[in-house]
Amino acid sequence: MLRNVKVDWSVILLLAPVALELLRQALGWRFGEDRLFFLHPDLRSMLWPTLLILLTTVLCVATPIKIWNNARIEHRLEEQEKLLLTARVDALASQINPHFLFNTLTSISSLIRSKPETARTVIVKLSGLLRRLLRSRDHFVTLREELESIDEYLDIELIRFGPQLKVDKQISPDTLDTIVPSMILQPLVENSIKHGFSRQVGGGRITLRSFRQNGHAVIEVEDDGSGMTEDQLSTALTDGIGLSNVNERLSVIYGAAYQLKLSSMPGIGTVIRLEIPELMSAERITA
Amino acid sequence: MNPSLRAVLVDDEQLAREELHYMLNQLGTVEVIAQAGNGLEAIPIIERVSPEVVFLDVQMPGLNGFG
Repeated sequence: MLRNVKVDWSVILLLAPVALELLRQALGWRFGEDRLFFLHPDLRSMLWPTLLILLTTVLCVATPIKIWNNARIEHRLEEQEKLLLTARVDALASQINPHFLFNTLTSISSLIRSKPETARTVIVKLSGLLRRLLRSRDHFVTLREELESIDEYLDIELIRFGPQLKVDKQISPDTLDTIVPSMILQPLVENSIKHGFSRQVGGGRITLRSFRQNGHAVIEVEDDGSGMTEDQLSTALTDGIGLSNVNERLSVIYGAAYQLKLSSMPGIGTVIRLEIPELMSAERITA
Repeated sequence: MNPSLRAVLVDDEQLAREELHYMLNQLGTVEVIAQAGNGLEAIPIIERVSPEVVFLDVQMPGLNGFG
């Protein structure tokens, strides 16, 4: 039991004036009341000065303790908030669209009979993608690496949808070393495939673009699908797992320093535009 | 033996169609008589073969599963 006793500063603070008072009383007994500040016997017989002194003592001790305790609680709250924020980023980063997973597994299951080698390739790509996703919680990667994982993802979709799905890349080489949150692009591309490509007959084209502009790195994902209506546009960033996750994750990481915009022309296509600050140090953000 | 149920499969993903086809064949009670890649393709086929049951994907190009 003694092992559990910890030095509690609030108790010490509380006990200190009590100890001092006891010491003073003892000295008063020993050396006589005239040498020390003592309550005059006349006053002592009355109740109110005694009560007043007691009250003042309690207030003098309690007020600093209260202030100190509040500061401590605030500090702890702040720490917990930080933890919560980190946990939220983690949770957001490690979500994969279950629909995509299901569809891919169905494809694999079918390929195992008809084309076992291709099935194997898809499994390797899928596990690669999952591995990146597991690592993504504490990782910021360069755009180059992010594009590699997008390739892995697109390879799977290409096997599922066949040559009808065409992918164009217009990546400016000077953006390749930009630091981006890991697995931030995949949901954007998935969204473009889902809304742009798979709704129209005769295939479609996804264009990935990146360039630098005004100290920001701009990444665009464009499709040539049927476009979105105003209603769909307004809810796209808040509903559903994919885009809203990306949006929330970005806002936790960058605060107000990023932009995620959707624009659409009915019949021509949709563009998702992501603007993030160029080259941020990874340490600052993982905290 | 159970009588066969005549079915049409509609899905834009060929691999998903093949997988469903295989699973239905394993059942032994469903016979897949035709397949289509989207809603628009499916309508004339369904009119022609008049199946007893249609397996419709929801999200498809052209015409989706909801019509």
